Amino acid sequence: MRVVIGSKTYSEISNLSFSPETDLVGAQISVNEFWVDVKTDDSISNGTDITLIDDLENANIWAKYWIVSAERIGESVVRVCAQSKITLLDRKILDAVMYENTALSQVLYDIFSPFLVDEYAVDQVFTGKTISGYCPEQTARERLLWVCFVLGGYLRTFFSDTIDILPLAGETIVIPPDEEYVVENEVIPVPIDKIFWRPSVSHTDVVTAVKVRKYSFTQGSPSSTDEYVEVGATYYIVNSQWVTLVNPDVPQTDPPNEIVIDGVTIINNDNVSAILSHLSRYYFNNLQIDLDVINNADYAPGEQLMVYTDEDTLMKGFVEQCNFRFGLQARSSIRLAGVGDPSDSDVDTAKLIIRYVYGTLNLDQKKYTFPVGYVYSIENPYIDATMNRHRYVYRPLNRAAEGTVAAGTNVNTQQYAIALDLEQSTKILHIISVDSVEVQTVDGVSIAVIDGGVSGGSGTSTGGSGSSTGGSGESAGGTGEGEGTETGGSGSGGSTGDSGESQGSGSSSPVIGSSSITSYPRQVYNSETGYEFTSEGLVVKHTTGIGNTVDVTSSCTLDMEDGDIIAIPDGVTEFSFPVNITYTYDGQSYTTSYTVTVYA
Amino acid sequence: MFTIDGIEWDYPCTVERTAKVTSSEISGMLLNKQYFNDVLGTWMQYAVTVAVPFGREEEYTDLYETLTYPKDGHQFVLPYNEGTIQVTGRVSSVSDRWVRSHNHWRQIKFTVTANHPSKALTLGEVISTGMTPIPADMEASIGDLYEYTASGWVQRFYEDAEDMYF
Repeated sequence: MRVVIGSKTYSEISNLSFSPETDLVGAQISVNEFWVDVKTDDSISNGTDITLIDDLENANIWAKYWIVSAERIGESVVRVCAQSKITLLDRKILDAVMYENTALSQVLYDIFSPFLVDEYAVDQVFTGKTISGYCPEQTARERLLWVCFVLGGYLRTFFSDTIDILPLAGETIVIPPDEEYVVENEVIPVPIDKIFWRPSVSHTDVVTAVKVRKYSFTQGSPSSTDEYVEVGATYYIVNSQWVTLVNPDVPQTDPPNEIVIDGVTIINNDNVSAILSHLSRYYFNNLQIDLDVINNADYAPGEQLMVYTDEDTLMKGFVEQCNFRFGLQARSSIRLAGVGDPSDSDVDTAKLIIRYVYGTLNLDQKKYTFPVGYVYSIENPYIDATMNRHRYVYRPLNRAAEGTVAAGTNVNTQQYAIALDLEQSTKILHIISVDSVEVQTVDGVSIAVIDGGVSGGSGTSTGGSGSSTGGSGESAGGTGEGEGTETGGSGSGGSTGDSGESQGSGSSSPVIGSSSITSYPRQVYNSETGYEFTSEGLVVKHTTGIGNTVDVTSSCTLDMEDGDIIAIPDGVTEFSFPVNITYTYDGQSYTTSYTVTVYA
Repeated sequence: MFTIDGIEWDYPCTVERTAKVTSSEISGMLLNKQYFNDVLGTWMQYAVTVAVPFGREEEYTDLYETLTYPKDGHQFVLPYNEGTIQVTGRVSSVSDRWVRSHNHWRQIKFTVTANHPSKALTLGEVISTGMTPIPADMEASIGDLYEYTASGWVQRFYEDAEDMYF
């Protein structure tokens, strides 16, 4: 982390303390602050702008405050306290006013001008919003609190260079006369690998009802019994009414514990419903969660998070406070409030499994729990894995796994290709797949290979048409078997004992026992011709009928030769090539033919 | 041989080095039972024992006074692998012994801890998970090579790559 004071950057800082918080129910507007010790011989004075930024390339802003105290505590160390400029609003007293469908932009301008008129921003969902009702003489900060409360918004004075007025997640925004919609930026899921062991869940007092007083004002001359307010020389008769929302989950016999909102005279018929809804979402969900997360400014007060409280249980709630601690990365202790019971139907979750595969080879998989209907886009990682004693880096064919979570278990399979053979050339990526290339012909035979080649053992092999005649004994025919997770193919070649008759087609030599391909030829790069198959890497084992194993690798031949160009046409899903195996058993020479097929 | 603040001390000596891979206090166990290790960097620590030859007592005294001067850090050049390393380090202890039979101080030993890590990753390097995807504007074709560097993917076209790697 660094701080910028004026135009100068100070990177030698220590004892940084930053615990931003946000009030979610209109009780107060927090003046957030941070403390930091800055190593410098410079003179630092109060009232100077100070910006806390991280060390990432784009220097994200964590807070843009102003210095309220700067004390030299050592020869070259100044201890700085910086506060949000919200505190300046305490210095401004606003006159009593009667808003009558006054544009929000005008109301906010009156609050923030003149000191902060260029330093606040309003979320676009509030465009067109108006304020109606009476505001007494009050500080600008208190009026801002009222306005945010009736908007269903909150103030964010961190992770931005402005004071932002944002909507609470899931809040219903009513813009009279007939527009109404729910804020879309709702629950933010926190992955389990960002949550520290172990969140704690606690209960707060059950709230039996929320009770709000709504107001309307009529201009006129009040009688002696009328309640009225005075703005300048104008009198307004006050009409008010209590509106109560009872917690449906609490037995009516329970002692009442009501939340009462009284005296906020800009609550009116247009916004009271949304206010009740907002308060009930907070107070009727009486659990709170305290947890630590890796938080590089990913989660902030005011947001609604969905977190794991153990390995299986997901709960959601609003972040009230983040207490940051800094290492190279940042960790924050978070308090979530307004947390509902996980068994509530509003957290309807489903499992998502993302499988990372190379052909039929499973490289890795990750499991997530998301709300049903959640639209996900999870970036596919590069995978570094050792297969068949060979270390590869696999690259995803798609940038991200994307989709919408449905009920039940969702499986999303992501295909990979070999990006890097770490045994061959460190940090060099061989291009083995392109979208469209010309199919090459070798000796009149079209050669094609699917994306990913055959190295690493993907795909399946089928023992082909090997056959034999003559000789004695039984033959089990060719049975292709792959290593790792490959699916062994089955061959039809073989012979039947003494009769010497052969089945299948191919060369006329006896097969005793079975032959199998245990490792596939590797696709290698030739600087002259491109990519090639060679016999390197091909290992064929022959198992005799009496259990002996003969390594015939040295005598096997491929019908392809080194230097053949392997093209990769778009859409090709399998590739076959013949293998002739010649070996000697019991003094006799035999040849067996196979067709090896590699599938995508 | 080593240097302190630019002055070379060419005496027989033994040097012990310790590399301290230091994690921050925010490290801890995650809910998925994986350990989150927030590594700040690797700091070098050296313990040097110097054998100043007899008859060079003035130099011995200079060395002792240099090392014990109450300064927040000295510039050291110390052995490292096949070469040397330059570190700004703080002297945490200096000790020697009086040899009565010779009426001299001998076997001066000091410990230096680097003020800055000799190896450290940036925040950007740490929070990116492995290699980033190849940028979309790097169109792939057969024979081209991509090299993954600290600053991301670098594309080398076939003709250039051939000269470099084959």
